[in-house]
Amino acid sequence: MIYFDNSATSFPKPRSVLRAVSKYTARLAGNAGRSGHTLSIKSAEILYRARESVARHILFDKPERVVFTQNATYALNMAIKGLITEPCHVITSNMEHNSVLRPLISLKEKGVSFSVFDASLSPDISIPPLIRPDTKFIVCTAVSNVNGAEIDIYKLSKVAMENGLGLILDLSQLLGHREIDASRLHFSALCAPGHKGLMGLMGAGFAVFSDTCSPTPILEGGSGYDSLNEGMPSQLPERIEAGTLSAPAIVGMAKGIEYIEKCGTECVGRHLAALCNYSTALLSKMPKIKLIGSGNGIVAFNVADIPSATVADFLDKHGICVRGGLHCAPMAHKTLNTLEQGAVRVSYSVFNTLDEVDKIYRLLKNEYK
Amino acid sequence: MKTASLTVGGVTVAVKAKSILANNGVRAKLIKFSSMKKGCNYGLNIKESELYEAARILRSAGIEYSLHKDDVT
Repeated sequence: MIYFDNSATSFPKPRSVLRAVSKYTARLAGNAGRSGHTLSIKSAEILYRARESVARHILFDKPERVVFTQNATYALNMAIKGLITEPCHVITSNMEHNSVLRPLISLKEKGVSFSVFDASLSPDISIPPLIRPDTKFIVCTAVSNVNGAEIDIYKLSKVAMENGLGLILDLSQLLGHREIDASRLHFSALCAPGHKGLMGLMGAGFAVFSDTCSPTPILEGGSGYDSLNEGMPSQLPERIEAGTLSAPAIVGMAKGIEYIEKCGTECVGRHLAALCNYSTALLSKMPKIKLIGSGNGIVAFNVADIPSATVADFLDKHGICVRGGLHCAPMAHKTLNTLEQGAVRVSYSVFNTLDEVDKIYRLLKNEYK
Repeated sequence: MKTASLTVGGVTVAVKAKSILANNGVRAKLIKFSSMKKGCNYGLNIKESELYEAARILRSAGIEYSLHKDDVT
């Protein structure tokens, strides 16, 4: 089997991740922040080190403001609904995943409206004309999960800062192959999953909140302390981390970060770029292939007018895992004029090779002459 | 050995506080205080002789604490 669906979740995971999860689950898995016994305290210390790993990876100096979630979708909901709490106007891009779009749509009933900027233009050109007196936030993805197209997050940050706007970023498709310097970003929240580029297990993600933000909880429940308080406690992260954390997945994510950092984050990025460049060079030789976009480890294409799901099924029958369809990002497909057909998305990881890329394209070439 | 305890709130801040104290040469044990009147809190148990130094270090780090009076032994 050849796995080319790393934008959905990375696979396989590094052995060190699996070993760390197995060891934690077998020997250390007390419930962190609930009890006072040795195992619970040890688990709490392990999870704090995981917060430090995330913070260090993005050059952020406050690990206690790293809030764990089960995935990026939850992190984005936590950030969007926790920070956008009054009627206002928000700006988002035309390439958003439903994990940004749906929460924004749901906030319409609370008086929040949004405008959409063209992600293909530089943010300092496309965003300012949309800013209104009641605009409070920019919420958008750093990299499209459909075609890998990237928005310059530092330019986004500059626009947000110059206009006094909050910035909520979806880093789902960026982390793991690109170094981020959060100290250079004027942000409100950075959201990401642990199971894609960071090579952890499904079940972990995070939202990092800046010093200036006090997110309102979107979930209430057990916090492990201050139990007599009828509301959630005041301290982050427990204020918005109700319930038991998915500690094994968090441990896996921390180990995945360590793995990527040992490889060299930018080195991983160069590897993915090489795979993308090789792919697009091959695709360009096939007349029936329509390239939709390429970048950040992602290559999206269609074959003539064949439904993308049909092509994905064909590849699956030959042991190659890709994703067809709308990728939970109908807005992006509308922008790319692929709403009817969807797209075949090939997404690479550090474990994919040029030989594997050869195989998929030989198959496509033979099948769709 | 006489010890004293400081409460800091949630377990995350408690682990952070322990780490900061350790980096500054003060050994602390992370413990959970359960009170039916005040609710549960996490804090640190340290040598009584190092209490004021610990408090100074935590203040410098911006970590709020309170003295857990019942635990001075």
